Amino acid sequence: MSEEHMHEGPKSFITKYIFSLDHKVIGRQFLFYGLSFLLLGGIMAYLIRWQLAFPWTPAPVFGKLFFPSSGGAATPEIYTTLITLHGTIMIFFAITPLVIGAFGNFLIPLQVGARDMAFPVLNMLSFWLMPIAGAFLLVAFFTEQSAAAGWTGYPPLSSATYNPGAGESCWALAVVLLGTSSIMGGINYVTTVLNLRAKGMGMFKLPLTIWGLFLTAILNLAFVPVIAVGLIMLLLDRTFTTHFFTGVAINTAQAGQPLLYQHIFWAFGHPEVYILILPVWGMVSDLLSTFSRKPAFGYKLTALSMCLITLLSAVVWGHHMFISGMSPAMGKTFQSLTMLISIPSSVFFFNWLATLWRGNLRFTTPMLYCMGVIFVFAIGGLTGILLASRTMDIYLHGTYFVVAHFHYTMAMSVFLGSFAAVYFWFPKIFGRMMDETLGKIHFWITFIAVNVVFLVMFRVGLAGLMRRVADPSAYEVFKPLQPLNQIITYGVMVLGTAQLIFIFNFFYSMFKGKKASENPWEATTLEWIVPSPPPHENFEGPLPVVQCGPHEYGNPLSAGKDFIMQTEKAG
Amino acid sequence: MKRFYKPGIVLFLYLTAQSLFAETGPWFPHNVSAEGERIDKLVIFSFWVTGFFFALVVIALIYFTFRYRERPGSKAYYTHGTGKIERIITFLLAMSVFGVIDMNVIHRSNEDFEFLMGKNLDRSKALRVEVQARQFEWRVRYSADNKTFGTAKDITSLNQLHLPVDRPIFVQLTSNDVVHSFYLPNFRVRQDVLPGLVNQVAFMGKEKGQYTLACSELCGLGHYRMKGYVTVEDEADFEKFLADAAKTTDTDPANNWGWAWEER
Repeated sequence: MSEEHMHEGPKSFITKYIFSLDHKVIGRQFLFYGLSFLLLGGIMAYLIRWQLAFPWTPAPVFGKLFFPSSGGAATPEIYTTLITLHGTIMIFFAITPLVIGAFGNFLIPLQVGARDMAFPVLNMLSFWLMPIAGAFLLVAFFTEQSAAAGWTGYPPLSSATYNPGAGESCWALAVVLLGTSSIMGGINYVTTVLNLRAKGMGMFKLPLTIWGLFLTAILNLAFVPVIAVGLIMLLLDRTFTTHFFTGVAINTAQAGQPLLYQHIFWAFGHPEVYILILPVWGMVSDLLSTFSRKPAFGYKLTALSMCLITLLSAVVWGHHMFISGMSPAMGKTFQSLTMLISIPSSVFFFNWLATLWRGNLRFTTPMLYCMGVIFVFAIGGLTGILLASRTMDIYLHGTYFVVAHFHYTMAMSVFLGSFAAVYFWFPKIFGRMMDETLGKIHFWITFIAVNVVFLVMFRVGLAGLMRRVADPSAYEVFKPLQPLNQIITYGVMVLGTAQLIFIFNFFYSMFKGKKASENPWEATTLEWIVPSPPPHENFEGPLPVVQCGPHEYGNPLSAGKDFIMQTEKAG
Repeated sequence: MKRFYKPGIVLFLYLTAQSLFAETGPWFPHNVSAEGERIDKLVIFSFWVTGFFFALVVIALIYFTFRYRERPGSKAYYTHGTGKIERIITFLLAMSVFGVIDMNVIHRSNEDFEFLMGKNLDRSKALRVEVQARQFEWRVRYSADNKTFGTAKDITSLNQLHLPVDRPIFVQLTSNDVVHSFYLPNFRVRQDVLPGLVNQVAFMGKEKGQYTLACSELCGLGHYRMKGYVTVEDEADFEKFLADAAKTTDTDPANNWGWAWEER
């Protein structure tokens, strides 16, 4: 990529919009891909919830559409497939493309001051693997015997003996392909951040969004291969009759080792949580600073605590396996290691609140979503301490308490954080503003519904109801919980309906919204010095030279305005 | 903004409180095991300490939103928060979270863990039971002399685990097919059951009655109906149950899945 002068953009429709090498187009492709799967995964969540609240009755609206053969009511087969695919879709096919794919691609070159990613062709490939992976996943849904071993796919249940259909193999292949895409993206992100930063852009002058995406890319490179290996071993077990995880004799004489899969899975599975949440932490840190009109409090400590969490995330996976039969000594170690995560977490959490302190708060829609993230992440993080205890985990493991906890930490905080990001960067991506009033209505309904759903779910979990059970009313001890289960389901229905406001706002604003200026939010980072949307190769004329940090808000030395762009000299 | 903020907060508090405190019985299922209450107490203790810090976060959020909202002529206080005092405050806060919440939870967890693993149970009086899980049932095996399993004198039952009240019980578990999880909500007992691995749980029932035995690890399409019952009863009733079960026990050696008990 030339440093000083720009190339002509591609002219034909195919090279410009389909097989594009432009990171901004690829980012938009990821955005639409992620939002579509978010919708699909959300509908599945509704179908699951309907079954739990009103077992074996036809689900209104979507039931007939998804399983017409049973008249819209779930069966054990359908229910198990739904929970398997809801998890897989949300983690790998919705959040990953949305947060990492869309915003990673769109923002990294713009915010570090580069004309494109380091490897544009690899970047294009990383997107085009996604539809192939998605196709495999949908095949897994529609085959006669669909994937039905949960998103964790524990063998022997996921082996050919207990799940003989093609669905389970397609599911594993889909995740491997998606992982390959993530690795390609990771190579690009790490290389771009390390090598293509504009002149003057030191590592500690990067926006925290880039720190989050950078650390996520490192984790992707380190741990996605782990799950890929695990799933390929599983595929070998399924198709070539190897015995990595299966073929265990009835009693203690054994061939394969099912516990090995669990270790491989969670050695990836725990870092995956941070893969999804780190970019959101970064974005929230930046946005809080922008809308508080005040520098991000303790920028360096925030960045360093995110690094520390990245390191720690690699050594805590055992807390997913406290009751698997792992040695108690190992349980004790994993418990202590897990608890250590609360130190760096409280550092950046405190920094978020301190950024608001004595700020000049502007309650735009993205700001509301960021404050929503603070709220839900506090709940998610603090309840995590209960689950990190191997003693409480005996009772809480595998209940809805866990479901509520991880939906707060890695689902709802990412969900709300993604909305913050979409509302914030929409003008830069599409050149028009989203409607603020609709945005705020969307926020309040979403925020309230999210908390009704998952706070009540904590209570259902405390009462002992286990997850993945198709019919809670089959147990006398859990029957009194049905009213709570129904409240959760009504919450989900409100939550889902509220998203129509977002969908309308999104498409209406894309074509009819108010035209966005270069810098509508009065932010300071490099993407706001270029027109909205940015031209091919981002920066007209020479690449920018960075003069100051990313959060120069409210600097008393700035004359006439309360912010200093990164390309201007502070004071 | 003002249009939405106050009604939003009020509606939020009303709806979450309404749904969270809906009257549907106690928060925990009735505990009937000797040590199960330790978990309840630990959960409640953890709610108090984490709740304290959560309250601080919420108070800060709400106070800051009203106090520091942008007004005509208002200005932010310019600080990067990188001074020595700020660093010390951050450090102290992080350490106080770790010290007050995590250290306490770690300490209490480790202490209680030993009891939940059966530290206080009198092994000399303990009843030994082997359980084999399979899709989608629990097979229970008692030995004739409470020591040697896998003989022709074993007594078996299906989905029915009986135990005498106030007598410790050690259950060894394995699976015949996929991963299951042996879960007794009223006893606060849960242990994964894996093929090729023998896991053990130890507990004691202190209240007579019939309670749920559930599978809490996805084990296939019939997972939701992999249900059994645990009955805590008098020693006499228990003896009667064994005598009845002996009559229906399958004595075919080919179906004898019992294994040599390994004391641990």
